[in-house]
Amino acid sequence: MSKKEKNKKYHKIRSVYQAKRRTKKWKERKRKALLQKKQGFVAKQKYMTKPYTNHKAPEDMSFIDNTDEVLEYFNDAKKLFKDKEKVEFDIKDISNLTPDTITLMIAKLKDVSYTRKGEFKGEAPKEPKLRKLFMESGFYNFVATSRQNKEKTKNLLHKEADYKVRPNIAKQACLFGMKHALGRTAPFEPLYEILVECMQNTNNHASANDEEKLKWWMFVYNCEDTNTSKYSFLDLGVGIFESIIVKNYITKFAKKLGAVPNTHFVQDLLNGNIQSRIDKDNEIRGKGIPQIVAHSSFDEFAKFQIITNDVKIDLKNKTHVKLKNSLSGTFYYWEIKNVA
Amino acid sequence: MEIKDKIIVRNDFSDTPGARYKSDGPNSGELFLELLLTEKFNNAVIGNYKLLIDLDGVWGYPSSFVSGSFGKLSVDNGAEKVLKHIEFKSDENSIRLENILKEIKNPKKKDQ
Repeated sequence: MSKKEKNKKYHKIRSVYQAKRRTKKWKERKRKALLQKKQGFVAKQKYMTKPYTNHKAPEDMSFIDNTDEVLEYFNDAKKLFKDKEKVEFDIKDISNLTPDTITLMIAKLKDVSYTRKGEFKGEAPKEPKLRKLFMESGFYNFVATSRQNKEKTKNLLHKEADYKVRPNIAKQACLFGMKHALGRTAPFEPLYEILVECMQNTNNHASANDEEKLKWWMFVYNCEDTNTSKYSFLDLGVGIFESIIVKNYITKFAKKLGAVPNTHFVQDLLNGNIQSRIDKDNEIRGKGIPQIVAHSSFDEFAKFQIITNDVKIDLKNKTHVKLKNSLSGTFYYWEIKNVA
Repeated sequence: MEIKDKIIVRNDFSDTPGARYKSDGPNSGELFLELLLTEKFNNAVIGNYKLLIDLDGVWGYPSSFVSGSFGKLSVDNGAEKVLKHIEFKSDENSIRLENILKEIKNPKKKDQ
């Protein structure tokens, strides 16, 4: 193409574009875009100057013991974020706080689908023991804070964003708790296998539409008072009973029996009877939860609970309860102690 | 049948067996199967000898790893053939050995 032809082509394209810019439709679109930009700016300014909504925590902030009330607290905060409120998590005056709640709190606050990028703030509890637990948890390593808060971390708080299963992190978590609670460093296979299966399950329970890999959180807290190590493992997926595999299983029953509560399927879940018919290698899968159940009976595990959706399962006592509030995700909690 | 080859899991693979699939994370059962187990097992079948697998010195064998490696090998080749050509050694833990043998004998059963 000669230079003259190229020039001609350029001017033709240019004139078509200029003609488009003079149309009513074009001008209207531009006007609306500018208005939206202005409105967005005004809304942002308004949000910046807005005061924080104080969201007072229940006195007993133990997720594992006071599950419904703690869940309600976090679910209510989600509604506040949805309503474009800035939230102050007021835990200053609480009288009980356990490591499992810290895991839940940090996981929620770092989940954009929970906060909707809204602003939040809070202070550590006033009560000295609870304050120490909170400060030493590693919580401040994951949120914006003053430098002095970041200094004291004595526990293992890990957030996984890449892989589902991290064998080295599982080993590290084993060693961290075992040295403290069991006084040894030789492998305790049930503990390692449970950790890997919790990680493996984060993916299994994702919904079919959820393409992105799930993040999970793990917190190992070495309690000096009780000489136990407390493990919290949380994934904020859809939860076991809302996962596509279990949902299909439940739907099949619902067709025959009508609406059945999730608690009805706990035993099938623990026995590994719920499996997918469409997944790759479906015939040889589904042994993870039964392995966790079997290992939980070891005496070294002082407590072992699973909270998912509206069900709380106690693997040590072999009981389960229906919750009033629901957790979108799966939470495993156990404690190890020396039985020698 | 004579033992002519061996896999020491902790040295030849890892002391921290991991997930089911390679896409799930490091040290998966699928990786173990592809990298070591299938080839050594096939050689044992062709050469009509036994492959020794030393299970000791690891942090554990998660069920996902076991079914993704030994379970898959059993589904693809049949339990009888697998057990004819593989012998396991586990001085540290007999339960671990039982679980792996159970997986090979009945890879589709979910009872613990």
